[in-house]
Amino acid sequence: MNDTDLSTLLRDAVRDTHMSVPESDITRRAGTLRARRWVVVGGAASVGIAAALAVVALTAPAAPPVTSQNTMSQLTAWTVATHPNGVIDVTIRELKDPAGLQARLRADGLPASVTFSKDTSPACHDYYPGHPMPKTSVSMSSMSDGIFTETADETGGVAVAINPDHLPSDAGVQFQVYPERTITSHGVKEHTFVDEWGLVDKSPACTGLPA
Amino acid sequence: MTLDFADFYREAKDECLRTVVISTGDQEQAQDLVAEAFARACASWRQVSRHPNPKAWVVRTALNVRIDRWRIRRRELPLTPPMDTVMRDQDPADPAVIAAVRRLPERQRQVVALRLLLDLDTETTAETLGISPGTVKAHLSRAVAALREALDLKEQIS
Repeated sequence: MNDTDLSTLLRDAVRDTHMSVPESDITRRAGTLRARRWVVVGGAASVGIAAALAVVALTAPAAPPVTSQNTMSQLTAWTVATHPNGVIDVTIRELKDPAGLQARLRADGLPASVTFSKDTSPACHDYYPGHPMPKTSVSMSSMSDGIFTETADETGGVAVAINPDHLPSDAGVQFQVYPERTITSHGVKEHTFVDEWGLVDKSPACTGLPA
Repeated sequence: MTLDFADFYREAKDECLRTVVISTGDQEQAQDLVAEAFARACASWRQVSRHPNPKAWVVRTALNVRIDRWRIRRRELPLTPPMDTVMRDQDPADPAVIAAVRRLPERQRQVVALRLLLDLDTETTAETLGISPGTVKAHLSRAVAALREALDLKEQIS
């Protein structure tokens, strides 16, 4: 019996094994993961965090952003752009100045907490309307549908659009991005980042605006 | 040309599932693991579609999810490792083959599944499992020898 025979035997042994999960279930679960998820991003180690950050592109914003100084902040590390329909685009290219990004979002009227580290503010608590006991982050993510939409960033940054109209009155948003580890895959070093966004209870201590 | 996720899922789902079934020895669990891995692929499709081997990405993710779950479970209860779990076959064509594979150590099963079922080369298998190419060759050699012995013996008996 040679390797080919063995390969054929193995294939025959599992030939009646079929994936029974419909694609619709997979994409629904993927939508949940997008709202609060782990991201493995690729890039050569030498090019740094900005080039290493890369996320999924889904849909382009529905309306072009207003580009006046009053409604758009442009920094090297991150960008906040507010559309006429109220949707706020956030793009993070480098893990710098989280306080500036947080202040910019709050100035746009969005209750927000931003950290570029593993530690979140102890004042922040995940938002679980109607559920006094914490549930899983997956359950929380499903409640975030319609608030967060991943968007494309041609420079390879973390990009998300936030629709404040869908934000519950007692909730704010939390961004948390931080480097996790470096792995080598197919001869290329890949930086692993944790890239999460989700809802938290709105409070002066966490999101900066009155609850 | 960018590969469409729906097309990828349709084309790769059974092959990935079969690879994980052989790797883990647990068909019921493999369905969940592969579904979760495909969901993660879909959530990060722009990046995964550019991976040199998206199927290997899915299988690696499925195996990692399994490790994560096992670690969580192990913290909660002193359960036996997953290599001892029962393979629940969907009427396999040759139960003797499945039984022979199940008797292999877990790492050998994974190497066999990736090399002989998913048709990955030695280097890609090594990258996928996070081991060296030399270790892949050694595991494959031992696994093939064990399977040949088991299946040749079965042929002689029958």
